[in-house]
Amino acid sequence: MSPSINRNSPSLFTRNGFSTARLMAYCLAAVLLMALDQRGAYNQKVRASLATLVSPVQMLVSLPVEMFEAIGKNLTAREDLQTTNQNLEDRLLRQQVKLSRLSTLEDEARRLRSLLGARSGLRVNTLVAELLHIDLDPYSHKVIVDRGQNDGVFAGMVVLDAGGVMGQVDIASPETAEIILISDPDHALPVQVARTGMRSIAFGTGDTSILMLPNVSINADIKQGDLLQTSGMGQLFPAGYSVARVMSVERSPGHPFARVWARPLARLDRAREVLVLFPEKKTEKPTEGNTVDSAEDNTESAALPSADPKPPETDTSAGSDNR
Amino acid sequence: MNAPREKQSLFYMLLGLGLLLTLLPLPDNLEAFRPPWVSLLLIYMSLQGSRPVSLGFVFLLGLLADILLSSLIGLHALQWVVLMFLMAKFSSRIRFSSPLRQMLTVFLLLLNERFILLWVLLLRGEHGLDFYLWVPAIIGALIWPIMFVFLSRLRQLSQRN
Repeated sequence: MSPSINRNSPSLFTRNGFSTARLMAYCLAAVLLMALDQRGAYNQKVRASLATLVSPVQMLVSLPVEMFEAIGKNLTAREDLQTTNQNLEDRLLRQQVKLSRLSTLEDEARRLRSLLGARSGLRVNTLVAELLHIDLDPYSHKVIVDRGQNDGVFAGMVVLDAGGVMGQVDIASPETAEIILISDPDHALPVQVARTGMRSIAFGTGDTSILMLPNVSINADIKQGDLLQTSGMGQLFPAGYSVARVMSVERSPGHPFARVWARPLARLDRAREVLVLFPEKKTEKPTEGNTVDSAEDNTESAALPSADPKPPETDTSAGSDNR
Repeated sequence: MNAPREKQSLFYMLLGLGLLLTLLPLPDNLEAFRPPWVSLLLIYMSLQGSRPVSLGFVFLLGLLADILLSSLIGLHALQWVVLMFLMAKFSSRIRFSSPLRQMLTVFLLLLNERFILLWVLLLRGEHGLDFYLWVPAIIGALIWPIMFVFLSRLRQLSQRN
């Protein structure tokens, strides 16, 4: 269909461009793809291979910024200073996470000394990963890190930063991994209030600074400033990591549930270095993912998120190259 | 026959560059002000190109962008297919209109794109309705004249060689 034909023939492709039928077909295809993506219908392999396909481009874009940063560092400090600094930063990050877990366990031990025996020790194996220097779609609630399957990362692993839980690995390709943040509206995270031990589920809202707990009963003991930690329910996230601090509790008499809003402690939108957590050996059996459809927001607080259509992850070669 | 083909390849290179520019990190406080490079390029292409950009190509480009930006797969494809369709329908009308009117049209086209995004965000259950959602449309319209002149120059240069 060359322009000269277009101009004077009222054919299927009218002079005003494409036929509406074609538009409709493509729109339908796009909407279908989106719906499938939202439902999590693409299986891990497809998504991982797609991610592998584009990761060179992403790394390429990331490169100049990394170079600039490296040059800047070289100008301000000598190389050895730089490496020691890096090491110290890594250590600090790791220790902060450990520390937050320790204090949590202390609290827990005071309350539930008898139950604590059920949980295994404090040792956690982690891997420091750096975010690629690229900007993703600002509405996607995903980040990409420079560690992938080759470093033992696989889908479902928990990701933390110095503040607290950040998200979990969604797609692991050989060189990179995509992390879904806890602020994604598809993400649900089993939490408990550190002060009282009350359990609930924190949903992402699509805003990186707000989580929502939609199913806290109206007379529950929860108030502004309460610390929320992972509860360990659902097997995926280990218990005791800080997640968020309660911002406001909204109790309206007409509703059976209070609406609780919380602010994540991890710096979801600006962390540059993250910790990827290797699961403890015991819990390495296939775990259920924690992503649920947002249509299920109204499940009762007792119900755990279980509607994950993805097949259970079987790659358990993880613990080998941990630090 | 050789010249138009050359022009087309220039456009494709520019589109690739536009995608990279979309990925390029900006300081946190500037991120919201990133111009919608690819959309602007697509508008220019269908306004000035020798032949219409096919919907299939734009669809595939959108999918590529979705994978690169890890947005919901199909979002950019939908946005750009609709954009191209509208452009194909109205490009003959706005091609010779005044710069100001052209700017307004570009603004409306970009606004339409943002509405598609808003629709998807609301369906996903995000609070999408803040001012920053609309900023790219405004920025895009504002830099349109500069981009138009720049691209026209570029096209002339590449044709001369």
